[in-house]
Amino acid sequence: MSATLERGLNALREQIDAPVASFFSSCVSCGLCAEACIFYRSTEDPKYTPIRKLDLMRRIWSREFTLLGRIAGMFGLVKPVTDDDLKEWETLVYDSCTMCGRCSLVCPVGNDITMMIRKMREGMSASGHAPVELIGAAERHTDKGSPMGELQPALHAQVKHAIAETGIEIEFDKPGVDYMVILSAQEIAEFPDVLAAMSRIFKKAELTWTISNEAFEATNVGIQLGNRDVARMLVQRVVDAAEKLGVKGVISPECGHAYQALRWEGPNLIGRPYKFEVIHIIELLDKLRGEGKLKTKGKNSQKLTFHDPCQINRRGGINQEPRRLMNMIAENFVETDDAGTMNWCCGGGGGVGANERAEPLRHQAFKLKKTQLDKVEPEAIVTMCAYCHHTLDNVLEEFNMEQEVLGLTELVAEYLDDDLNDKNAAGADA
Amino acid sequence: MNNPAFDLLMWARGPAFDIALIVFIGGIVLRVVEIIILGRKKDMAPPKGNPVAQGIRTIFSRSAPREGLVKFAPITYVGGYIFHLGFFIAFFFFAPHIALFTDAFGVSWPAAGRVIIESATALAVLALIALTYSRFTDPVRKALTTFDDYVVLLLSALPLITGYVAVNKLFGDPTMMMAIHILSVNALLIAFPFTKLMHAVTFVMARYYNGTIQGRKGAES
Repeated sequence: MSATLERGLNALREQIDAPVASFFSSCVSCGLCAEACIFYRSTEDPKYTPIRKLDLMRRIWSREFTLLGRIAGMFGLVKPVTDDDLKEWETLVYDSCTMCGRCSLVCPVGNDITMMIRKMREGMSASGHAPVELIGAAERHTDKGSPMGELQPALHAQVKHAIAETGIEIEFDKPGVDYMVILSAQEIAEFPDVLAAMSRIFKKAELTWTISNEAFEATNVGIQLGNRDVARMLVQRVVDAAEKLGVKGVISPECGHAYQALRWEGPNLIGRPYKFEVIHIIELLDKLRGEGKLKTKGKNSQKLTFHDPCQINRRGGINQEPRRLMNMIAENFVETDDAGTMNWCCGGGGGVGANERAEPLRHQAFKLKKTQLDKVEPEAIVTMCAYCHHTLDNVLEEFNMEQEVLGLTELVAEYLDDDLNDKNAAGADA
Repeated sequence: MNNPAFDLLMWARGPAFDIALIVFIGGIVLRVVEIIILGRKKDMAPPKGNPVAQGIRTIFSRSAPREGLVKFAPITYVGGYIFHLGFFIAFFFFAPHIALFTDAFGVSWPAAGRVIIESATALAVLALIALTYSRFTDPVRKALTTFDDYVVLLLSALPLITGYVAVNKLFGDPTMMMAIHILSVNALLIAFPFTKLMHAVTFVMARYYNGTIQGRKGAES
């Protein structure tokens, strides 16, 4: 047995705990998880049945963690997991699962299949069977600070731009402020308007905030790759910076897995609770709205719909917050079928979007979302995850769809009741 | 007094049943312990919702299907409900079965009428046939099905069928049929901890865990 195979199998063994054992013990192979899966439903290929993607982990559990399985293993009735098996499973575990979590919500015995995929990726990556793009992103992230490489100069340029646009100062590394803002690489590179948007909203709400030069990147490729060491290191960067600055909280940006990584996995990765709170930007905006500190003026008259990012809603618990904000600024807000908890994934989550060989499958998977959008015919799609935003931009173009995609924070800022808006309005009138 | 059917019945409901019951209970304890000793790391993320309350709620709420999904797997959903309900009614509400509980534990509850019991039994068997059919024909089910699944289907059907035959004296010697009925129950009990039948116990744990994981995040489960 090769060293990498042994390492992978050990990583898988380490992942097997009481919930996993209860899930495998409970599965009656009813196949209902397939009906919830974006990849099965869009292809109708039974190999995409979610529980089947975990078969190698199930075999290890059965052979090594149950008495009967051990006896059966001795008689050769349960086959050991080989390197060829892991190789074959790589595309199932990484290309055809966005860890969207729909299967975990329909399983009649209650199996959290998605959580097990997250665990299985630990074994896959340890055994050397992970997509090259994710491995490359992890290297860039640990060595250069972001999965896209060196982003600090770009961030500084974007901050300067935001200051010029709003006339509001943004200070780096300022201790003792209310919040430390972190951003997803996608926002810095593709959607930097969010900086000016936050700047204006926070100014109006009288919140103080800063960006750390040591930890401004929110994404965590360790979660997607399935590498706890990478994930822990990236979370630790943010925790160290935030605790050094002594901030009250860290604002998790519009990025699905970043929220999952910092808010829910992070304390378990570093082995202790943080000395600050983690709040998602949309949670914070809704909180400010509730406290009367976020007031808007006017409404968007376009027909708007909302795309729920899986890691923020279904796997993250933020469901009503964006809807309350949408209702505040949208005159014509329409929901698609399955909106909210059972929303279809954009197809790019869980590292699938970065994985080039998965592109045809990802496009195929988008057809489910497309059908829902075609039914509602919105003029624009609002979301609260920069990666969903990026993925949707690309697939909409691929399918020659006209809709624009908007970030919710920027949209809220557009209708913010503040001096800048008054000036803009005055300028428009003149 | 040389009646092999009677001797078999006495053995089936006597020593054989006792052994089956010991294997059943001992096996379940073993399997549950096997799961629990693996433990679960304490979750250090501050909860947004109430994990324990949602865990308990999910044990029950997951019995209902997600909206809109039944139409994608009607045989599995409808067949699954009919089988489980039918089996439950036939097992717990048939007067002679209740008498067994009364003998053993001194508890009793109202029995269902014969029409209800026989309809439930017949429907449960039909549902099992439909579920078996879908395992042969439906690509998703077919790809997932293992030998274990067929054993479980057969073991679940036999007590229903033999019970129906014995009670209605449809064919064969009634004493012999009753002996076979009890033997089929013994087989079900013995196989229970070591096959997918075990889900009837562990589903409570699985649903609870799922509910706590989602509940901590304030997310639906």
